[in-house]
Amino acid sequence: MQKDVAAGHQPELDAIAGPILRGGARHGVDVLMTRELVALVQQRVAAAR
Amino acid sequence: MPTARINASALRPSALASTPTCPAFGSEMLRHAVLGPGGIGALVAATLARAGREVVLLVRPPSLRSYPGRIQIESVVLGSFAVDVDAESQLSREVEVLWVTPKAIMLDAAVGLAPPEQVRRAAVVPLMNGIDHVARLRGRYELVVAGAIRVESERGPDWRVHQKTPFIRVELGPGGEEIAGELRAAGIECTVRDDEAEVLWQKLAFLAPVALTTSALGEPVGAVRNDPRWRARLEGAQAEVVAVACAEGVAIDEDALRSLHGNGARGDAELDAERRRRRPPAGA
Repeated sequence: MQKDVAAGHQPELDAIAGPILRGGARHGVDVLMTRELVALVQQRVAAAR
Repeated sequence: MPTARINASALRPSALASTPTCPAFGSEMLRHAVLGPGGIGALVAATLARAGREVVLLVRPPSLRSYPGRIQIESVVLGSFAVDVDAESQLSREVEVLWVTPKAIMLDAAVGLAPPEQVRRAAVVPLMNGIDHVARLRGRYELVVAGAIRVESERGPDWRVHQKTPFIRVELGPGGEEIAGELRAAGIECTVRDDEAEVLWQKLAFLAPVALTTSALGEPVGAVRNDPRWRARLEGAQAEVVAVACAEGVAIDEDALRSLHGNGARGDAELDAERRRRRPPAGA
């Protein structure tokens, strides 16, 4: 995924982080770090455009 | 859980009744199609073709035009070889296995090349990152066998595949026995597990923390490990995916997972994991 982001390609962000974020919400599990990392990746993706 | 045959006739009596001709196999070699043949799919396709299996790649027309008709493999595990593999832009033949290997964001576009009425009761085997694609494929196809692959493999536009890790390891969910036999015959290590959620979550628990931290930092995993703040993020993300997997009913050994990422400056998480795995435990 890092190579995709660096190359300006759309990363598999939802496929990889989505199950953790949605599973966390579903089960009441704290996923703050995953959320923070997703936001950082999104910033990088936006900056690479 | 009952062991499903690939044609799943036992699980799908109604489908069997409406479609009297079943693909015959057993000791026969299976016929394979590969949807979205990138680094993973082209590797699997070429390896099966080298082992004498009928294989067809499913690629979109622009890629089909530039496809040279053969795949060149340079693999640490399988060696260097070139093999002719058919390709078409729409599945037009009968197969027993449909491998699904596009990037997740390309899945919707890719499945258009494999209409359900042509796939019929072939086993649909995704080797993709994530979890949710399995349910999406089940909404479209009759028989889906969950899978995961541990390997680093890249394909260039010239259809040369570079496979760099000293292992290629596939895990399949229930119903994958016959397909596992095909992979093993071709030289690819394969394990079948009783629990499909375990196949998917084990892979995600390994992949997600590394993928997220390296992508957020913009550096390989070595840089993540060597910076205490980023290492803490890696471990935090690991703890979260383990907790969610646990809530989903999958027990992941967090200490083992942490030790997988524990050392190694080369920046290759899967490789480091393999080194760890092969090292005898201390005191043994």
